[in-house]
Amino acid sequence: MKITVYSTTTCPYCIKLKHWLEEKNIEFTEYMVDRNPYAAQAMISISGQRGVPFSTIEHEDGSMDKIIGFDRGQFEAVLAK
Amino acid sequence: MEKKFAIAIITVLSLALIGLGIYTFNNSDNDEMMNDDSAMIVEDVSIPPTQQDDTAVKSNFDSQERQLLYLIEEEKLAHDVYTVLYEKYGARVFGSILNSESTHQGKVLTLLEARNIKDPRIDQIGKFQNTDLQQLYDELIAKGLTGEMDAYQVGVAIEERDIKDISNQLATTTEPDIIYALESLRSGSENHLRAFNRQISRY
Repeated sequence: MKITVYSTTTCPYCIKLKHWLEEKNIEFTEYMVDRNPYAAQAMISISGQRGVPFSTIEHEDGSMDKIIGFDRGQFEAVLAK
Repeated sequence: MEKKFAIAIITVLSLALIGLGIYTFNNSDNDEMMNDDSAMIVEDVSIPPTQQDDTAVKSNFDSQERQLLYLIEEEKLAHDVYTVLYEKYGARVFGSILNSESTHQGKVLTLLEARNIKDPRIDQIGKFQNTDLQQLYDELIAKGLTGEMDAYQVGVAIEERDIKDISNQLATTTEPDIIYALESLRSGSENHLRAFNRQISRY
């Protein structure tokens, strides 16, 4: 499972999401879209929107879940797959 | 009346986004929304840590770092060679493409800065940290200065090499920002290659 989080330096929900993942010892790769325009373009291309946090969860079978915002319930459901 | 209606719509949409825990970002204007924890009040569930091979992750990062360091110097090589050939022959194709190569270096620099990797470029035309690129630069300059036709062929060789190296890196990376930037660089190099081939066909 590979988790990617797109965030900005000032977004409070992004900070909460990252802390939550860290507390759970869940590894993730982070891209700061306000500092990295190519990450921003990639995020918009994948998600079709500009809201952060935006996360992708790539599963071993090649499928990908996309989560806009920090919704613990949705994260837990996806991570339990 | 219309203004009041618009304000009401914006307020409803903003509240909906806050409820979902979403923060809209804007490169030029970071409008901060109200912080609301309502979306996060969910009971904690113990989730096992994912299996990660730290060695593999580090190795992949090192490889990406090496490739980006090489790439920015390779883009500098193109810029520096075209600068010398433009001064020698004054052909417009070199002038316009060398400016584009500066933009290409800027794109790779953005990727390096996002990863806190130090810019390896030496601030001097024709000087490189990478010894292979230094040798290549010397060979290309020697060939390019023998005649205008040779100079265009040097342009073709540089762009073909860029396209090949970028394609190889694209085949190995999974990082979305690198993919986005490299696809843009490859497209630019393909345009440059067409421009040099046009010059050769007219010569």
